[in-house]
Amino acid sequence: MFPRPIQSRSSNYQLAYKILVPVALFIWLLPLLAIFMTSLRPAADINTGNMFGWPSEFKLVENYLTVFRESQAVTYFFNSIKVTIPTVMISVSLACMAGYALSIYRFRAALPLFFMFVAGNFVPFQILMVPVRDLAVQTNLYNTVTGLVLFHAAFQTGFCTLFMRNFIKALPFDLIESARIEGVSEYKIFWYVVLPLVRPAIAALSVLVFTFVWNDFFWATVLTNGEATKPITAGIQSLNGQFVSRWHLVSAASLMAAIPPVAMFFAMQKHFIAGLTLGAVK
Amino acid sequence: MIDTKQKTTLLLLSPAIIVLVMVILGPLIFSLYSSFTPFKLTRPDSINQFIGFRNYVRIFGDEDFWAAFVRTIVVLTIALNLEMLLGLGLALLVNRATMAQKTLRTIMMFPMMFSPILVGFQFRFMFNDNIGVVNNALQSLGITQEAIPWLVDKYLAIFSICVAEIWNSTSVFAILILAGLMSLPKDPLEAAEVDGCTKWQTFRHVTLPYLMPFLYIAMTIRSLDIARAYDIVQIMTGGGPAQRTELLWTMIARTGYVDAKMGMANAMSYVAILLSIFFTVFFFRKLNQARHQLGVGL
Repeated sequence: MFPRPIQSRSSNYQLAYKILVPVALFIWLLPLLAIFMTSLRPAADINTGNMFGWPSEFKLVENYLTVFRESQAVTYFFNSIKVTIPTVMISVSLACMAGYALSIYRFRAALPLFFMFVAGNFVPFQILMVPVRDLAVQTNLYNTVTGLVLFHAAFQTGFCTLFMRNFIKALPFDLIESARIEGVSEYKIFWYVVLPLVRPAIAALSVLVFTFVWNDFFWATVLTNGEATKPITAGIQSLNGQFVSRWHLVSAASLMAAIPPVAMFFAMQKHFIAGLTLGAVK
Repeated sequence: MIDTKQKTTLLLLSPAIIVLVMVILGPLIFSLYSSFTPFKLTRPDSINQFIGFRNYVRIFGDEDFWAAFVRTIVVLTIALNLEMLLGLGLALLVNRATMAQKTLRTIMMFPMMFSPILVGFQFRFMFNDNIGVVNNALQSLGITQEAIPWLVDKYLAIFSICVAEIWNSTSVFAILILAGLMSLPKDPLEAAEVDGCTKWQTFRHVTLPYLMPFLYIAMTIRSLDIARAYDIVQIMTGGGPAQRTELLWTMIARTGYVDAKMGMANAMSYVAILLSIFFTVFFFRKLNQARHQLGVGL
C-alpha cells in the first residue's frame, strides 16, 4: 500500500514524522498566527511595540465587536454573500450546459468556440476595466449587486466551461450513446445521465468560483462606489482608511472576511479533491 | 435527429456565448482599437484620432517598461520554482498522515482562501520597518539592532513581495499535487518495491512522472496569475519606492489611470499579454509531453 501508513514504520521514523508535521505547520501558519495574535491585542500593545510577545491583555471580543459597531462590516459581509452565491449558481450552470454541448456534439465550430472560452481566461481583467465600466453605467447596472453578479458570472464562465468540458469529455461516451439508442431525449440525457456523473466536478468548481468571487477586489472597486453595495474585500480597504494604524482592528476584519471560503472548503473538500483528480489526468 | 441535436447544441451554448461576447469580446475589441489611438480618459474625443503603431513604437524604446517586464519575469521564476518545491514538500507530508488528514488538508489550504488584497495588507503590516512583526522578532532574538527597511530597499521589497505571493499561493501547488498523489496507481509502486528500488528511485522514476501533469497544470495556472499580479504589489509597495518594484500590471494601471494615457496603457497590455501567452504555450506543451510519457492521450 502506498503511502505506507505511518504506523508500520520504525519508531524513530514515526517520531521524526510526528515532530516534522507540527513544525512545518507552525511555520506555514506563522503569518496567520501573527495576524490572529494582532487581532487579540489592545491598541496599547501596538503603540508600545509589543508586536511579538504575549498580548498584555486579551481583547478578542472587544476588538471584533468594535469592528462591527464602528464600521459597516456587516453590510459588506452580506453584500459579498448576495454577490457570490448567485454568481456561482449562474456561472456553473452556464458552464455545465456549454461544456456538455462542446464535448458531446461534434460540429465544425466546436473547436474555435472552445478556444474562445479558453482565451477568455487569459485576458487580464485590467484591460477590460474602462469598457466594462462604461457598459455597466449605460445599462444602469453600475453600483448594483445585480451588476456585480452579472459581470462576475460572465468573467467566470470561460474558466468554468473549460473545466466542465474536460470533465464531461472524460466520461465514458458509450453511456450517452446507449441512452440515445434507447430513445432518451437529449435534454433528459443531460439532466439524468451526465449531470449526476459530474457532481464531484460541480462541487469542486463551485468551491473554486466561490473563492475567486469572494476574494475579488478589482471588480468590486471598479463597479461599485457606495457603502450599500460594497463587498467585504473593498470594505476592508475602506476600513483600512477608517482605522488608520489600528492594525488590531484591520486584522480582525480581514480574518472575518476569510471565514466563508475556509468553511466552504472544509465542507466540500472530499468532492473538491475528487474533482481535481478526475480533471487533471484524463 | 441531426436537427434536434443542432437545436440542442445551439440552445445549450448560446447563453454562455452571448455573455462572453458582451462582456469580454466587445470590451476587448474596444481596448485593442484604443491602443492605436492617443485615448485619454480626460479627453474622450481622442478616441477618434488614429495614430497607427505609434504607441507600440514608443513602448519598444521605453526603458521603464522593459525593466518592469524583466522584473515580472524574475518574480515569476522565483515564485513559481519555490512554490513548486514547497508545495511538493507539503503535499508529501500531508499525504503521509493517517490521522486528521482532513484537518491537515484544510490547514494546508488556508492561505489560498485569503484574498490577495488581505494577504497584501497582512504582509505590509508584518514587514513594516517600525511596528512590523518581522523586525520585532529579529530584534528581540538579537539578530539585528536596526530596523530593516523591508518594503523600501529595492531588493528587499521584491523579496517581500515574493514571500507574500509564495505564501498566498503555494496551496495551489500543494492541493493539485496532493490530488495527484491520491490518484497514484498502486501497481507500479508495488512493482518498484518488489524489484528492490530505493525510496529515492521509486520517487524519482515512478511517483514523479505521475505527478508531472499535475505540476504543469499548477504551473500554467500560477504563471498566468503571477504574470498579471496586481493586488499584492499594489497594496504592499504601490510599485514604489521610485518605481523600483513596479511589475507590468501595476505599471499599466498607473499609465492608464494616474497618467490618464489609456491608449498607451492598452498598447502595453497587449505587449504584456505576449508574456502570458508564451508561458501558457510553454507549460501546455510540457503538460502534453508528460501525458504522452504516461500513455494518456489528451
